[in-house]
Formats: sequence, structure tokens, C-alpha cells
Amino acid sequence: MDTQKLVKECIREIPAAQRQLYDHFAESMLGVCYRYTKSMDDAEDVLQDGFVKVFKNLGQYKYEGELGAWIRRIMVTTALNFLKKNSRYNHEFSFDNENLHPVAYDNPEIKMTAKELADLVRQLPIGYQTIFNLHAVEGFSHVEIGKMLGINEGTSRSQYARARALLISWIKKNDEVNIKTGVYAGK
Amino acid sequence: MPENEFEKKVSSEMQELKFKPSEQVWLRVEERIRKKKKRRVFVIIFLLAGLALLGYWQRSNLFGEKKNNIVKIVPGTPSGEKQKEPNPNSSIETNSSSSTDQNTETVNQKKASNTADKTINDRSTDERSVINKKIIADPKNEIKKPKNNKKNETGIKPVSGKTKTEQKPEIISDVVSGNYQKQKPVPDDNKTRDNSKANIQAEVKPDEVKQTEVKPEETKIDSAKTGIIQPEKGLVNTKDTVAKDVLLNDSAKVLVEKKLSEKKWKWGLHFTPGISSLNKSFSIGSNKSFDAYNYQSSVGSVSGPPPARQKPSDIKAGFAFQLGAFVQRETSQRTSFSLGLQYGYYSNILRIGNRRDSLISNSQFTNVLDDKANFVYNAGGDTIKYTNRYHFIELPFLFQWRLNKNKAKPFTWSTGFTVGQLIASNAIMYDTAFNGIYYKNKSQLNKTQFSLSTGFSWTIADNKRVQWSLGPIANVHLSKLVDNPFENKRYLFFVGLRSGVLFNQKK
Repeated sequence: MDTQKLVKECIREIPAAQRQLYDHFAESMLGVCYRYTKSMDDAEDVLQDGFVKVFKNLGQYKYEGELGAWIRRIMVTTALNFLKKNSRYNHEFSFDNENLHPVAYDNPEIKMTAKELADLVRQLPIGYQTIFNLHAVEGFSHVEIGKMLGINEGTSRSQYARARALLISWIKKNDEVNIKTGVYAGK
Repeated sequence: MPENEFEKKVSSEMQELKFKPSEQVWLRVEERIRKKKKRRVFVIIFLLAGLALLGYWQRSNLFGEKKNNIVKIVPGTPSGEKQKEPNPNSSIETNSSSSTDQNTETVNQKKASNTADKTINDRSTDERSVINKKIIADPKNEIKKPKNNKKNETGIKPVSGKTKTEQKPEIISDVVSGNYQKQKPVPDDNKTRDNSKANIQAEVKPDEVKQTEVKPEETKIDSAKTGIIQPEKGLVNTKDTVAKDVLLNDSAKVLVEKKLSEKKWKWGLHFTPGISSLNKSFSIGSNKSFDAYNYQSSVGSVSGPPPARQKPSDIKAGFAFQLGAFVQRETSQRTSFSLGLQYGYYSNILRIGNRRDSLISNSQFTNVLDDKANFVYNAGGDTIKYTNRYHFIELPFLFQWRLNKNKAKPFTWSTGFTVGQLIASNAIMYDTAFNGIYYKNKSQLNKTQFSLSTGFSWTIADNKRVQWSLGPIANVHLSKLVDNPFENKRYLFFVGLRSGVLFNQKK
């Protein structure tokens, strides 16, 4: 796929090019949206809003980085806006300035599929879920997360530490159950 | 293991996360990117139309001109004779009028020398009076019919948005998490799966499953926030995996149903206090300001005492309100329409003279008055404040357009039309008979009314059950409310502050 040509055609609003761009990125971007929301419906809503923004702002893409990364960034921003504005999420989407929670450097082995892991992450409270995704998956620093969410860097760190600890405990528990029930042995 | 090894693994796992979106997503994306430009044009046109409507109303009513109440009939001409049509150049008209007042010449004398006045007599064939209308000869009250009844009213078609097709979520459920526990309690179902996890189910104690199933989400959050790193049993325990799977299917259904329910009818109530009055013709581009009859000023009259005629009172705005219920349905993410049933109370205030009930028994007048009329007022005098009240049952149809992107607290512009039926009124009408009187005459009221509405509303509070909104709204009637040839203000208008409550049907 010639990205530059495709982008130019999309800017010229050629339907076939727009569809091609969508088909190329839709599945992976729905994965991104899925991680930030609690239901597939919401994820698809975010995906829809995100792609509308992509097509609207494609002229601003400077061909400097990967197109996929640029679209991904738009999806993440759209997802954050969705969480802030949607009544189902914004009640929980608030961050208290908590004391710093010590980060446990526990690194369990992950023996689950991407979807299983994503589903575990999605069971975190929405604030934890968001910060975990932004830091652990997208790779944003806590300073950047603080700016994106309008919270202190320390709050972001604290929330992340709690989310991480909670998630690791769940993963361990899951592993124990799987070992007991012979799921791994059966693999 | 390095401290960020976990993050790296999570990140690499998550990069592989892919789902195939439903076809509806692309259809909606395509629809939005194609219609964007078209929508902008519509928004601009409707906004301009709304602003023009409000501006016109404001100009013609809030800052309407006042005129002298007392007029005299020119001697030598039949009383009540109508003068010339209003000159488009109002300043010239005023000057000529005042010069005429200072001059003692009669209209007939002017006729010989002034061609403009000749026109007046040419037009006198159109003159009529109330008495003539009622087949009662009374040349003194003969008055010409107003000619400026042309209207340029244009019906505005309500825009109806397209109803979107429902999105069907496609969920890949190879392995299921307890994610949907948050949405609904786990239904106790007997469904089983054919994968290896079905075996695990056998080991699960029923009471444990129950415990997991009914555990509320709040508990989960609290434990997380307090730092107690104790995952809930149900979250990762495979014993409830089957239940979760069932839950997923059910939750998916619930979500689809929820999505559908959002598109269904919602209902609400509104109360809109405001003010109302009578307006001149709604049409733009017709005569700017005219009276049905050109009343001469009494100032400067010398030769002979011409009988005085009182002009119609200035109409002041009175209190009004609308109260009703409505149903609303979304037609797209940004548009919706609503139908309602409401009671409308409108009023306007007149300053009139004393009662002249003696006229009721006047033999010439009996055919003019309604059978039920039991009072007559002098038009001039400014001694009594009389409130004309109108009671309507109305059916409003409004189209709403969300102007901002905030779905939780939308700012909407609404426009539409209303059909109303007058059910009661105590309104009094002006008549030139007996030098200007007011009396009740229901036959001059048009009972069926069509009006245009436009307004804005802000959602000031939104919770799970109700949505409160507040904003200004204006109604301009397209049908003449008062069909009185002696008055030029006949169209009802209303402006108010609409406070509404919309009930969300969340299950």
C-alpha cells in the first residue's frame, strides 16, 4: 500500500481510497478502542468518531511518522474524549489526588491471549484502566498522562501502581486456577 | 526480570488485539464524511432564518411606534372616510399630514387642486363600515377597507433527519472475561460451552458462583481504590467462565437493546413562561407600518367642531405561558424531532376608556354586537387596563438540531410549527362605530392557528433518569388571530423561556 498516494486520494475524498484506508486500519484500531471502553458498542462508537476525525484531519498528516501511529493517536484521544463526555463513564472518570502508591516490581509471566489480557484490563475501574492503557500499552509518560487527563503526575503514578498491582494479582490468580484445573497441561 | 518487562509484554500482547468492526460502522462513517458540507449549509440557513425571525419580531414589536390616540373627522366629508394609502416614505406622509391639519380646507377643496387627494376620493368606493358590513346604513361610519392584507408568509418545512440503522455489535468471544458483570447481574442460565472450560465448571461450587455473580461493581472499585490487592474470585476464576460467557451473550443482547432503546421515543414535560402580544403582518417586505385608517390629528382644527375618533389602543405585551407534554425521538446522533400536546395561555394589554354600556341598547348597534356582548368601552381615554386573554390547545412539532459535540449536555437549536385551536377568549375588538369603541366580538377571532417556532436550549442537568433543559423560544403565528379590518395588529407572537424535563427510559 502506497501510504502517500492513499492519503492524497483520501484528501481528495475519493470514496474507494477512503474505504481502503478504513479497511486497512479498522480492525487494529477497534482493538485500541476496545481497550479503553467497557463494551463493544462503545468501542465501535469511538472507532466511528475517530475515523470521521481521521478523514477530516488527514490533510494535517505530515508523512513524518507511520500513518498507523498517527491514526492510533487520534483514536486514543477520541476514546479519552468519549470517556470524559459519556454519562456512563464520566461519573467514574475522576481522579483523586492520592498518596503515592509504591510500585511493586512484580513481573508475572503472561500466559493468556491478547483478548483475555485486554478483558482483564477492562475489568479495572475506568480510571485505572485508562491510565494503565496510556502508560503500559501506549507508552506515555506520567507527565504526558497528567497533561492529557488534567491530573497531577503523582496521581497518574499512584493510579497506575494500583492498577498494575491489581492486574498482576488477577493474572496470578488466573494462572493458579489454570494450573489446578490443568488448562496449561492440556495445551 | 527488569522492572518494565511486564509493561513490554502487555504492550506487545495488546498490539495484536484486533476485532472486525461491524459494517454499520463504515456506513455511518461514510454518511458523516459525505454529509458534513451539506449539513453546514443547512445549519447556516436555519440559523439565519431563526435570527431573522427573531430580529423581525423584535424590531416590529418591542420597538413599535406609538401614535396619537385622538383624531378628528374632517368636516365636509362623510365621517369615517378613509384616507389615502400610507406612503412608503413615512416622513413625507407625516409632513403632509401635519400640513393638512394646519390647513382648514376640506378634503373636497383639496381635491380640486391636489392630485394626490384626488386619489383619496377615487378610492372612496372601497370604503365601508361595520354597520355596512352588517347591512345597516350609516354613512357617518363609512370606512374604507384596509388594502394591505397581502402576506408573504412562507411555510417552513421541518427538516427531518434520517433515522440511522442500528449498529449490531460483533463480539468475538473465544475467551470471556467478567467484563460485562458491570453492566448486569449474571443470569443463572444453563448454557454450556464445548471448550475445555466446560470441564472446569464441574469443580465449581454453586454457592461460589452465586457469590460472584451477584457481587456489585461498586465493591470491586472500592477494593481497588483502598489498595487491597485481592481480586474478586469471579474475575479470573474459571469456574464462572461459563456464566460469564452466558453473560456476555446476554449482555450483548442487553447492549443492543439498550442501543435500540436510546433511539426509541422518550417523553417529557415543559413549562414555558413568557410574554405575548399581537403583531402586524408577519410578511417581510410588505408595508412597514400602516393603520387601517388614516386618523387625522385634532391639533389645529378651527372651522367647525369635527367629531373626535379614538384610535385603537396600543397593544402591550402581556404574560403568557405554555405547558405541556411531548414525545421525542432521535433521528440521528445530532437530530431529533418531537411532537407534543400543550396548553397555551396568551394575553395582551390594552389601555381603553370608560364603559359605554348604553350603546348596547342602541338600535343601530344591536346588529353589530355579539349576542352575548354585555359591555362596550370607549376606545380612547386610557383609563382602564384591559387584558385580552387567549386560551389555546396546541400541537407543536419541533425539529431539534444539536449544535455542540457534547452528547451529555447538548446545546440544541429547535425549529418547527404548531397547530393550535382557540378554546376560549375574552378579547375585545376595536370598531370605528360611535367614534371608536371596543367590544367583544368572537366572530373576528380565527380559532385555528398555525405558527412557526424557533428556539435554543441548553441541557443544564443530565442524570440517568431525567434531562433538564432551559432556553429561549419564540412563536410567530402565521394565521391572523384577529380578523378585524380596523386593527392592524392581528398576528399573535410569543417569546418565552422554555424549561423542559426529558425522561430517559433506562432499564
